[in-house]
Amino acid sequence: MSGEELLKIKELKVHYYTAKGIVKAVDNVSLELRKNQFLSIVGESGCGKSTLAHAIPRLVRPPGKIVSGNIFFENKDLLSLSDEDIRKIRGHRIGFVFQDPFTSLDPLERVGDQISEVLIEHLKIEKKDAKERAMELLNEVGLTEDRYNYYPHQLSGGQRQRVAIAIAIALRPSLLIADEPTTALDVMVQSMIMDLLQSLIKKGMSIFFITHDIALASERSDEIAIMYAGKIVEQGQTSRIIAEPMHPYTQGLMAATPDIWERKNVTSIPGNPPDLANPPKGCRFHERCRFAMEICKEKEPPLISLKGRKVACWLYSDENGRDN
Amino acid sequence: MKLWKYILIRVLLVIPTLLVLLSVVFIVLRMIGDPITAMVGMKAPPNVIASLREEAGLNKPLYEQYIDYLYNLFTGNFGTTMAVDHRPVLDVIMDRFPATLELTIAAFIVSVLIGMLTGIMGGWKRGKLDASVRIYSIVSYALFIPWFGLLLQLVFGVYLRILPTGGMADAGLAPPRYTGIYVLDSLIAGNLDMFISSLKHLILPALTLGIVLSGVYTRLLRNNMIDILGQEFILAYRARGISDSKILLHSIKNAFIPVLTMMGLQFAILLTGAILTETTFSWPGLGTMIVERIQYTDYTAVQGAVVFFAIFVAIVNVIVDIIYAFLDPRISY
Repeated sequence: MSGEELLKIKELKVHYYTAKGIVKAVDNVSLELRKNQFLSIVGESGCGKSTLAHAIPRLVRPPGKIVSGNIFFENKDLLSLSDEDIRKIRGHRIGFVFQDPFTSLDPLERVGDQISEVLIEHLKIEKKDAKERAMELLNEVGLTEDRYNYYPHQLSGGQRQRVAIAIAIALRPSLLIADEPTTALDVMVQSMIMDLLQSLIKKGMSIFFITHDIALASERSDEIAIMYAGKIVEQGQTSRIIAEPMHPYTQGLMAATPDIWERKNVTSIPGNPPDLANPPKGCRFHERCRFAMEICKEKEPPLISLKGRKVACWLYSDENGRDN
Repeated sequence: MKLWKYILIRVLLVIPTLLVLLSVVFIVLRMIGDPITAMVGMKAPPNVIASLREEAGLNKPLYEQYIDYLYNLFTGNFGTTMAVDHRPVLDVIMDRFPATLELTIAAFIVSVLIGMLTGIMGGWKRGKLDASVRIYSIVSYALFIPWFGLLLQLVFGVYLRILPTGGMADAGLAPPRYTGIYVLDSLIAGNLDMFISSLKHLILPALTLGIVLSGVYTRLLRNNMIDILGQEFILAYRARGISDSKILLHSIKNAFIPVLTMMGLQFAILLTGAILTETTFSWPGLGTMIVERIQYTDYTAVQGAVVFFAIFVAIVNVIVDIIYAFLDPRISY
């Protein structure tokens, strides 16, 4: 599992400046991703996981803004690069696959041309060579070459997502960020797309995978980070976390996941995620937590290392930040 | 193969459209009173009126007139003018039409250029520039052509004395007639003075009509640009590291499609505007012809010109539909 560090996010804060107030979508998140690693960020809608993914190649759009922190990638701090330098990294060193393949491709351009375009942009190669390479990429993602001349609307959702992946991996990036790439697709297609993503690890890529589906994440990833209300609450090796979820929120997420092999009672987590413009004091999960104690309402729990993972919960640490 | 089918259907669909248009023209022109009496006056002897009515076919029952009317138009017979010259209406129209075509094409180019430039700038940059763009779109749209034309005549023709205020060319510099479009004819004749003279005469009328019609494009493009730039595939282009200038081109292409539809619709307004512009600038086109003939209550000429306009607009819209099919792959045909 251990390998060279590829991406290191340090104390990242991303805020949205809305009429309601400042929404702290990503609040002091630190994460690391090593080479050839598959990391899943798991959380409910609105927990900031998508914002986190967008923040890495600096794609957060106004009213959102990266407020502070560092993002080290291949020994560069992405947040201090010029616009032109970050542009050269996007698509080249960092690939990005969006959630909805129905909206992330230009409807007016042939899908093959969209693959060629990114090759031409970064490699300054001839159109003819780019086209040849684009055809290979189509094959690589499981599409036939004749799809080159298709327009997005002529392809199915799964095929479009394959095209989007082909574009994202066209330049062999070391990091592929996939923001819920299978949410808009049906289960069979989802499984095929996940196989495709997993196969990219062998080709030397690392995957930063965003999902709301803890079952999917546990099946596919080496490491899982559970995000709640803009914060990482538990993070570690997938096998360890699935075997023994420690944070009450992780436990809740797992209990809320149906299992078709085992008839178990699916229990949802009571209440709703907090409003990030006005998050609760203390632990952000305390209002929905069945173990909530006095301290949870007052003080934010630190992220501590315990049993081969990191977890932020007062059940496992005392006020001084030490393990109980 | 499918594309040709689509084009064929578009072309065939013009027929019912035209039929409706022609019927409306027929009905309206017969609702405004007896054209013969209006033309020769109440005091004309009854036998004169009767013979004129017979000549115009107005003594027949209405349905027969309607069939004759359609049959004649179908065979390209627009009738003869009833006042002044008694020439075939189509000849009179063809005398005047090139001038209108010259004006409308120039105005069309001006309106699309200004509209696209301002709209794209406003949508791309936002902020203060965008605010001025929005004001421009409203103000230009609200301008009254004769007033705005007079204003330009006053500024450029009277105060600055750099541009002529009326006509199509200076005396003695009218080019020989090949197409009837002066700018083109002077080039064919190879006479630079004639070309400059006709171009100078074209500027003010084209600006007047073009600016008034540009506001619609400005607004439409600005809104489309903002809409397109907010879409995920633009963010996806950014995520791919595509440069801003290329993203701008992609967004313009996407924002342009609804504008194309608008161009077809605007063409009808362009022709109406041409009538006002031509009168303001003594431009000898179809617009001034219609005004003249209305004054003579020359109903065959008016009918002919209106029908001609209708056919012209219908054809332009078919062309727009066809271009549309080439530009937008999503269109089903």
